[in-house]
Amino acid sequence: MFEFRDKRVAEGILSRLRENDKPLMFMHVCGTHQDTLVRYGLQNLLLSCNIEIRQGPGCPVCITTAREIEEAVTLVRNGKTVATYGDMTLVPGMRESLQSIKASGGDVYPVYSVEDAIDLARKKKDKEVVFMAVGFETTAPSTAAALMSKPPENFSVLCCHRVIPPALEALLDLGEIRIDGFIEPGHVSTIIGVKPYRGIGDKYHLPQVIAGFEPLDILTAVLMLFLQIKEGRAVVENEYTRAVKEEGNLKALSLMKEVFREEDVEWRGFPVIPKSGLVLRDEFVECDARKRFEDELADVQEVESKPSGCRCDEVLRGVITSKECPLFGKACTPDHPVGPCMVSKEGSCYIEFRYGGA
Amino acid sequence: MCLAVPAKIVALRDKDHAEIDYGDGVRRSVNISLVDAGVGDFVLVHAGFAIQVLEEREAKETLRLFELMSQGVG
Repeated sequence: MFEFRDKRVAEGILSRLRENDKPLMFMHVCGTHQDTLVRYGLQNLLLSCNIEIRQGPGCPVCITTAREIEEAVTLVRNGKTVATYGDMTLVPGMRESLQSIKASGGDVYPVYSVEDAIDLARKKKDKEVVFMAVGFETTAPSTAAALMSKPPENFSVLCCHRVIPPALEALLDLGEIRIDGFIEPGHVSTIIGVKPYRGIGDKYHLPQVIAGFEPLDILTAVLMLFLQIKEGRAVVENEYTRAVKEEGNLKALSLMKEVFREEDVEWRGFPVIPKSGLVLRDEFVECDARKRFEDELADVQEVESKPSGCRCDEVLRGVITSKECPLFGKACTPDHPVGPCMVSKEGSCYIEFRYGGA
Repeated sequence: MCLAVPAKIVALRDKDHAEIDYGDGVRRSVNISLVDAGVGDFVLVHAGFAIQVLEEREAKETLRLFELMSQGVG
């Protein structure tokens, strides 16, 4: 719709960032931000200004636990049809991935939208169709809307949605790396708005800027963070005003509230994060795959497994970069991924391998 | 997975669905029940749902912000 990639403007912003005289570490939590940063070479340009940017736990597929994948795999093994977003089918659970169990005859469908999963349930009237619902606040409203639209009786949801603000606090509480500011995820923010970040800013005195996804959006957000630090401010600023409103998307928020409640859940690479998971409210018990197939899921193990040598957990906490993992680009590539950060197109290892000139 | 793509609403299909155009001339159906939008509006589309309406006025403001920031005024 407009020109968001003006080279002259980018050069102007970078020349101001070159005034920076101390090492700064900013974190973002969004695979799409990482894609822009690496694909357009912004990471290296910013490193030349003494500013490093790392991706935290901002890839829903990557932070979904092996146990949740094992639940989906178990349902397929028991004759259910499982539909989920494409990348999710490729990540291994305890032993198998949804993709590998599909190859041996399991009924698994990668879908683009929850509505595709509902259409599938309408077509396969004699089968139980389970939608494995992953994703942050960007995606959760669509699952809520689908559940409110009276889906067919053979449709249920294995709910693995999570919310971002508690994860930001968890990162800061862990204190494993210094974080000088957050670039907040633009599309999550279209739903939740600006307010949820304010509490974090007050509690930790941390600069935060909500950013869009064009190269100039990110460069401008980085400059806004830099100026806050230079001037001793720690506020929430919104660079992505064309899509993010102060109050967020009220319709979507109210649907989410109606359908989900928050619960303490694990994220891959993290200990349990308080109130960071969304589970279906009791009113939707009939659509809750965990309740409907309680007996079949009772045997799924609690133990989290990690492939040998894989350091995805540290990548997800921003403690190391993808290139610092000894498996990166050697034993672990997009064709033969060891961990989820190399599987998902939003994983930082995948993005680094594809566009980072490794 | 939080990728969302701008698209223009070109026709309404039913109460919850509209046809949109990503700019390539191909029409696709998306669910618009999460937004208040009509024909001619630009929306952000994620996983088959429009999740927010894009504000043209704000987009122009952002371009102005870029200019100011790059010139050291902001």
